[in-house]
Amino acid sequence: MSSGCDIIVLRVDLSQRCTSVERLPLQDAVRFLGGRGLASRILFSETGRGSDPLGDEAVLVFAPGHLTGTCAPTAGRTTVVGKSPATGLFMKSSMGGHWGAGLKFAGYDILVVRGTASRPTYLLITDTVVQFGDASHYWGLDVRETSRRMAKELAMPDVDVACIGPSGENNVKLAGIMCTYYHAAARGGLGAALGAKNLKAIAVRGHTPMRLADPARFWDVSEQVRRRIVATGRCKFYGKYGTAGVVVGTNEMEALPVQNFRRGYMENAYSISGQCLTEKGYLVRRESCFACPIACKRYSAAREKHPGSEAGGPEYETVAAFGAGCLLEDMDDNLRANELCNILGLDSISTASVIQWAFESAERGVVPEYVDDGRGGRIRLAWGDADAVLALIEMIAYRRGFGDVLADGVRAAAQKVGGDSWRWAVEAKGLEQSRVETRMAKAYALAFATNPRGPDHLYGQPMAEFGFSPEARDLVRRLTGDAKYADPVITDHKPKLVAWHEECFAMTDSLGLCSRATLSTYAITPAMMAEMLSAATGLEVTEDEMHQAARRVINLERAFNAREGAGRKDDRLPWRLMHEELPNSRGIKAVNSEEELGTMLDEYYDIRGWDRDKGIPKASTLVSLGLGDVASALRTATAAREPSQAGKP
Amino acid sequence: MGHALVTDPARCTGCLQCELACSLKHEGVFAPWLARVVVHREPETCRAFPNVCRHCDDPPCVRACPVGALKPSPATGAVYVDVVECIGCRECLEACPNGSISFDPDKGVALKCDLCNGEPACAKVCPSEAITMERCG
Repeated sequence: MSSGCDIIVLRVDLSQRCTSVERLPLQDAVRFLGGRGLASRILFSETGRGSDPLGDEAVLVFAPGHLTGTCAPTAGRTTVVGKSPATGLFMKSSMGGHWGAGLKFAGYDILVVRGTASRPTYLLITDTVVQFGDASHYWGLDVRETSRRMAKELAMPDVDVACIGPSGENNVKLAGIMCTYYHAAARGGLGAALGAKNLKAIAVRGHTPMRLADPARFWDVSEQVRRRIVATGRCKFYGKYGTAGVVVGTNEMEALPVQNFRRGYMENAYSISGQCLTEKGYLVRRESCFACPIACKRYSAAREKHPGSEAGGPEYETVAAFGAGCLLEDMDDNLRANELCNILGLDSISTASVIQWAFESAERGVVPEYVDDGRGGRIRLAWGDADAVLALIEMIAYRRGFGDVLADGVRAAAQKVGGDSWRWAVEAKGLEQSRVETRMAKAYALAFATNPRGPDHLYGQPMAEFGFSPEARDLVRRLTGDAKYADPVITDHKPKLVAWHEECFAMTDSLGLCSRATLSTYAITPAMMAEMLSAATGLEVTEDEMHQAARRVINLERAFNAREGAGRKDDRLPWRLMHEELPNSRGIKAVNSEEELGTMLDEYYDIRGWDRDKGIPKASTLVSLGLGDVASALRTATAAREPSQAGKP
Repeated sequence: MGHALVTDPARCTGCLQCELACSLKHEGVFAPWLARVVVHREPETCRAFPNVCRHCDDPPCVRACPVGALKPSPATGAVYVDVVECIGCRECLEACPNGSISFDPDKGVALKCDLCNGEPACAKVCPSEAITMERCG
């Protein structure tokens, strides 16, 4: 295994309790960019239309980046690809930490898991063994306890564990996969998919070196990248304050989603910010993912309430979701909520989202003010009530009492409860929106609508539209011809920005880099990525070819959804963000509209070579990308489909 | 006179850039376990402790080596392992009070910091100044 030779795919069949190894030619790493791209290719080829994301046939692909294991700065990330139990559509969810490098050093580039184990199982993958272990005694344990006990019982202090918590075991559709204790592939319920397979954990460790085609050239470009990261102001900012550092600025822009996206501003945003974490003594220490010089990860401890509560994080999304969303203004409460999500294995974005929906539903009388806690007691659904939030997190993870109503996500909850409650269910495609305001950021609105996994920032993330930094303004100028288009409230040229960012994100994930370095700071450019991939593989690849390969990946992922019947009708935004104006002091009419989104979608589909009416790849586009087999599969699926089944989980 | 590497565990974030740079420079591959600098990580509490050779004035490793395979380099004075002469007895690992010498089981030789001819790669790439190069004497 290595970046300079064949790609080694380890296949594990849990039903048969057998493994096999497949070698893919290195050229595939250039054609599909590596990790995520190859994983999406495997997912498309090896699952059929209408497959059950919680069934035997479900395939989960764990794909560290092609450069993971090397010194390429930030290249420690792993993308998990599968069909989402939450949306019934394509899902890629990415995690940092050290697990991906562990899989690489065990000798494997990609892990494909299929089938269902007959009882709770863990996998141990080293360079000498792939072992199926009995995980009965880990079942029910939280993420931290599982990780700690596995290291001890395997007598491998430096083993790295990816696992699910109780939420994944209980098929909660807000459950993620955690690794290196506090790093989450959170979105889309892939933890539930692992739980349905009875697979509690995957432990990795090995001593197989990574060999590159041209180590000297690779070192030179890595040094160039490292120096650029160190010199980029936004990278320093994230190192100092973590991702939660952006709470304050977002609030000042009146774009911090407060109280279930009703407002964009809160009075005391400092109290839930990264600045507060760092300056008021909550931050215990900083941590890096593998090979990352930024170190945005926090390890924090509560100070007054919740004694002993310590954990990795919190991230921006978590404090924005609980602090601003649920109105928990005390940092200690946010830290406890963060710790609970971590150890129970829950996606903090989606978990806080369903809790906000429940609070609003109670406020509007659609659900009772007091609900059953599943233990003979009742909790009061009220904004800002920390006890209720913390209780609800556990109730969701264990599907206890009213928690069971929330555990399938906000779309399902609104269907169960009925009334108008779907109007404040802030989701699209069945996924809860991340804590980003799109009513005053039109590239974001388009990117969220077209994102095949649902409305969040981790498929496109067109941060450049804000023109925050010299790097961002340069990029907008290069893509549109004028830096004046770095203006979030206008729609001009936004489809171009979105297309570029999606392509950059596909490169980022596939190489194993972090979007913090490539997108939110623009420290690592596609040209640098091309140079790193060329040096690693010995196959010359240009920036243009990287974009072409990224388009191949994006078309494949779009085709996966198209095969399920999804298309333009699903490229929508949550109802609230389309119909309710965001109050703001600048007098801007801040809302998204069908007309505005429709115009941007037309232009975006044209750029992509997709059918304007259906929003799916044209056969000619797929063929031109060398995806003729995908075009055939799509044609067959379209002929066979019953239109009403589109996109249902 | 000489140089020394100084570590500050409070600054280390556990990114392992030092191990990666070291293994690439000395072994031509990325293999953190073959690095001359070792970072001990405790992921549950996100602690990380970098450990590098202190380049002692009267090095116990040199005294312990039965075949004289540990020698001062002419350029920097830093003690390095002459892999041709090393017999893999691990006496130096035992003798080092700091636990700063590792072992390559495949090649059967000790792995020890040689200060990269005065420009240590680990200190160069460390993003948080947890490993720095200092002049002493």
